[in-house]
Amino acid sequence: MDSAPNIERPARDERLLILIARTEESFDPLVTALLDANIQGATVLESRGLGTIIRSEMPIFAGLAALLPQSTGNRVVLSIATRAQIDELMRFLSQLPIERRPIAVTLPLETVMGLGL
Amino acid sequence: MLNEFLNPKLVQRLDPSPEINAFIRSVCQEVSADVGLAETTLEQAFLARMRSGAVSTPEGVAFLHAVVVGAKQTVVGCCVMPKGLLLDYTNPPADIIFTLVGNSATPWQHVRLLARLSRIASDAETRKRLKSAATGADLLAALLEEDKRHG
Repeated sequence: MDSAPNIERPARDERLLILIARTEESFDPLVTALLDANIQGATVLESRGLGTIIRSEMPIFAGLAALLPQSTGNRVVLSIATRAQIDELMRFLSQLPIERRPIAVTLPLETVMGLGL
Repeated sequence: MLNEFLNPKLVQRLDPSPEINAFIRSVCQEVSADVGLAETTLEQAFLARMRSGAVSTPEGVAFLHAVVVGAKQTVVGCCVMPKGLLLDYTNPPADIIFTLVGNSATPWQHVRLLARLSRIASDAETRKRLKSAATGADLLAALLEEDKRHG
C-alpha cells in the first residue's frame, strides 16, 4: 500500500487569502501592501469580472454596457498568510482610496500540501 | 519600521542638485562605514542597478538601491532635490530620491523596505509634504511621521 501523501496541517492561525484587484491601477498598491505586510509568496491570476464577460461576450446584454462597470476583476491574488500578516495587510489596504481597494476574503485552512518548496 | 534603518546623515534637502556621480559617491562615502564595505563596491552596486533598468517613476520618485554581499546592516536614506536629478531617460528628473543598501542574504527585508517606501511615496499629498521639508531634520521628521501613518 502507498505511504500516506505529504499532507500537512497548517499552523493554527494561517488563512487562505483571496484578493481581487478590480483595475490595473489598483494592482500596484495591492502588491506593495502584500510585500510590506511580509507576505512573501502569492499566486497571481489574470481574471475578468462578470461585468466584463457580459459586456464583451454576451450579445443579449448589448446596450447595457453603459450601465456596467468599465473594468472588473482585473487580477486575483491567492496566498496563505498568518492572521497577523492579514491584519497588517488589511490595515494597509484600508488606507487606500476606496476605488483602489481590492475585494478581500480570508478562509480557514483545513490541510495544505506543497508549500515551502 | 523605517527608523531602524534610516541614517539621518543620508536624509537631506539638496538645493541645487548635485551631479549624479558626485551624489552616488557621497552616499557611498556615508554608507561605507555602516555596512562595512568599500565605497567602490557600493558605487559599483548602485551603477549596476542603474544599468539594469529605470530607478525612477513618472511621479518623480527614485529608488536607488543595491543588495550587496556582506553588508553588515541595511541603511536607508532620502534626499529631496527641488530641482530634480535625472537618473534615467524614461522618466522625468526625480525630486525625491530614496537610497537603500541591503545585504544580499536578506533579500526579503530589502523588498519589504522598498515596498514600504513605495507605499509612502505613492501618495501625492505625502510627496508634497516631503518636498516641503526645509531641512534634512524636517525631512527626517516628516518621513518618520509618514512611515507611522503607513505602518
